[in-house]
Amino acid sequence: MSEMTPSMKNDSTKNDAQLAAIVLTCLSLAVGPGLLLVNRPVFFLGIPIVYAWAIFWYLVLCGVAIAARRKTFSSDQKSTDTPE
Amino acid sequence: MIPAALQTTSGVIPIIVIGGYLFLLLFLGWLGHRVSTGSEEDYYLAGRRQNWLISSLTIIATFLSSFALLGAPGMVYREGVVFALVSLNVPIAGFCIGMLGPRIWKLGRDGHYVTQADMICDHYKSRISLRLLVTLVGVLFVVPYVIMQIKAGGDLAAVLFPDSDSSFEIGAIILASITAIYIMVGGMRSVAWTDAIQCVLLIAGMILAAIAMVAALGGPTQFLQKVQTLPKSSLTVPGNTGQWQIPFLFSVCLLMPIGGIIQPAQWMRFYAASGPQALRRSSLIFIVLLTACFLFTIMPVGLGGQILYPLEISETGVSPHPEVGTYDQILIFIARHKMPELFGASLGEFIATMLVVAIMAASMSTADSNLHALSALLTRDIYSQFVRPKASESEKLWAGRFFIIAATSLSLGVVLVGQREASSLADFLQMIVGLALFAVAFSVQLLPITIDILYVRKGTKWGAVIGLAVGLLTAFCFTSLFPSLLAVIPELGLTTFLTDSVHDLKTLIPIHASAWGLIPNIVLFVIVSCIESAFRKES
Repeated sequence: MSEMTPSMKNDSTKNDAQLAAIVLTCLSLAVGPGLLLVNRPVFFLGIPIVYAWAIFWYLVLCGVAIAARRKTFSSDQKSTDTPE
Repeated sequence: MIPAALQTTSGVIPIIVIGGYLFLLLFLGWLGHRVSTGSEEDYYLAGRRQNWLISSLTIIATFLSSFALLGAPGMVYREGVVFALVSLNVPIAGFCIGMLGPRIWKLGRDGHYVTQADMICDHYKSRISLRLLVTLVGVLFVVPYVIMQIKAGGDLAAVLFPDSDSSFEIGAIILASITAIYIMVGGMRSVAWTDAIQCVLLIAGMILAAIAMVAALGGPTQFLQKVQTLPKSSLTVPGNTGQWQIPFLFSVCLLMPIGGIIQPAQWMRFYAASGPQALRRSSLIFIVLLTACFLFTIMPVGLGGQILYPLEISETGVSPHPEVGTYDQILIFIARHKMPELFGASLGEFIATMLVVAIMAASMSTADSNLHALSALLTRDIYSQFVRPKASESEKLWAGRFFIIAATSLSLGVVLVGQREASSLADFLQMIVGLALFAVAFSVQLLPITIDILYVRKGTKWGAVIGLAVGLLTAFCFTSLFPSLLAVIPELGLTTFLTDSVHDLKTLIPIHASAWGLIPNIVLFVIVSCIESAFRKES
């Protein structure tokens, strides 16, 4: 396995920081103050809206995870291709 | 001889299925022993060669626990749809695996670490103080988690054999004994193999329970129509008991998964993986699959429970339907009483049996991982460091096995004593969710140290020691055990002052105990590290 160079390490830390910021923002909207937008006993397509809200944010977080995985995968590919 | 209760409620087939499952676990324990090389690294980390599939399954199984099939449906039954939001803690855990896991794996491989304390103490060059504190965190996390799983075994038996006076005790003893045996025999390899099977079983159990529940209520459309008739408090935040205020919900969703991932057993799974790719794949599977399991299987089960057995909500509080007993027993209660009635004797019996096996799998998969990790902590961080530094590998392995027996016996003792109504522990052990939240309050306190080691690298030894010690103490003051502990201490002015202050603070800012501990932890870690670094530069 190829070792990471210092610039790759910085990139990896930067990627992790960006990902953490995105995830924290999503969480703040999903279960933080953003929740006040939907906290009522009403229904969306027959589902309680709070439940539908949780499903929506689950799908958003899945999207973020897949995008992050693709980005990490391409970084890993670069680090494998870079000569020592 | 087959107990009469089982003959009348479930027949012989469940005994064969459950017996076969337990025999398979013991067989995997023996197989793991056959394949092992007998070294300490092999016993605790399976030679650091776990592939992505086994890594994913063992990480998921360790994370799930009895909380998944007893605590979570119990919480949906008690609180309502707010649990769908609590489920969003699962993707956070997945992101932690993807970000922290590969870095922990790399440092573990380079430093030949086995436990959390190995890495932390090596980084901060602290042989005694930090090692003892990190081990204490591990013990404070692992013991409540093991207690929770053993209690689940007892709860399961109590519902299955209601006619027997000692069914709870027998169930708890059987679950604890078989788990301890296969860990002692096969080490990490057996634990991971059994976890993989248990993970598949418990996810299948979750799906089966949800399908059965929705079908029992007349299909998806009818089910949703009935959900709409639930009380308003079941359909909104903060839930029926009012516990899940937004600050509390946010702190739990953010910190509970972090605590569940930087705990000793998961940390060792990061070391044991074959590489960072295995952990990144595990992270994605964890986020997509596991969250879906909670949102689309556990939610219908708990809501269906509320429809079938309405809660008793009054001004004095909320209580489960008199027939159900406790909230955590809702799934097994439905499995035993409703499934045969709704689906006929044979199919209902089959579904009920599969659910029982899935619950056992959930409990055992977490108990085994945590007992195994506790054995590593006590052997490597205490016995090898302070008691017998020159012990041979073989002696250390035997010491590890002894610690597994001791920890299992201790946890079993707490469960059996806590089961008595007069016990001061009875309130503390009341709900599985409460025990899970208690355990993570401590493991979360390792977060500042973990971030510093993996990313920042500017903290110092005394910053870590003081921050962690104060964080643990503060978190403990905000847990549910603190008032019970103060109750046994003679009445003093100080104890009243402490209880009142903690109560006032909790009311003022309703956040979880882990968040209360993290505040002084982070502040002191930063301040003391800055002062220590400044002194070092001057000298």
